[in-house]
Amino acid sequence: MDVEQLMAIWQKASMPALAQAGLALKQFSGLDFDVTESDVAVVSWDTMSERFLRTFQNPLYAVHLRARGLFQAHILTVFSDVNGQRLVSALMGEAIDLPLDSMGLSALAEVGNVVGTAFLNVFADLFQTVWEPTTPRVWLTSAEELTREIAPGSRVLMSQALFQVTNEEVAAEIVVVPSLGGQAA
Amino acid sequence: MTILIADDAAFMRMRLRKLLEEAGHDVIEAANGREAVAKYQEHRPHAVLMDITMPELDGVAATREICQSDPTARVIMVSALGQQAMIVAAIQAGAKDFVVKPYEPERILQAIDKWARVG
Repeated sequence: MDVEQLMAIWQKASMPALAQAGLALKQFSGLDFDVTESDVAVVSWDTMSERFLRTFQNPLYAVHLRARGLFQAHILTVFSDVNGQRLVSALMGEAIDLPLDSMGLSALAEVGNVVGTAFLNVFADLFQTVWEPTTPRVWLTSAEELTREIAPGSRVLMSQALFQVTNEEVAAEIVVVPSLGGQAA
Repeated sequence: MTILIADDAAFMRMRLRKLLEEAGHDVIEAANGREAVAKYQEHRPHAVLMDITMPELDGVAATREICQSDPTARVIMVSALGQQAMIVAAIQAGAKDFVVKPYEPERILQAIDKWARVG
């Protein structure tokens, strides 16, 4: 199976995988998250960067996993700082202040881990292989910094979903960027 | 019973500790696989709740080391990495059970009741 074939399968399976990630987020947080928007597209890295800058408001909390399997992928789970605070408060069962302390960051990292790995599990079983994530890295950042940090090849297959709690101001976004040949991430 | 929690995420250790202590268990913690092996040898807990993706030594390798030194060890994997091939690898390493995150708290307590009382 060549890279193009792998990517065609990845593209087709992304929507159910994003739904699985949403379900994991709902179960882990205990909040009633739904996938409100999702998109899978092959785009240039420049387009991806522009979209990052347009979509995300600064500052934001990002959880980054690198996935190693048939090919490498970046999985980013992104929250505005206020949404990160609300989610961590729900997980801790008490009001948490910003900036998040080490326990709050650990909680957010685990959210990214559970959500990103749920997404990967779909592909691993589909390809009958193991797709192993690195330990999550979580940090307070900006959209500009994110586009500099995650620098894969010139073409990316982007799987993106917005998870939102019905009637509440808690939202999270997952962006999955596999490397397409050429410059590996 | 004494339960060893091995997870690099402080939040998950805190969450599991609360659950286990409320159920009447004593808890020991390890933040990576290497530490889990050392704490196991030192304390010989009734069961181990083992994450997979951890620094120093991953959970499957740590389980293999623990089970090689003590074939009666009761290691329960608790991981988001619920991929079929990984579950097989963990069982081959000696794990008795596999709980996929996110989990219902009751699932953890049932696994401990089932395995920690054996032997």
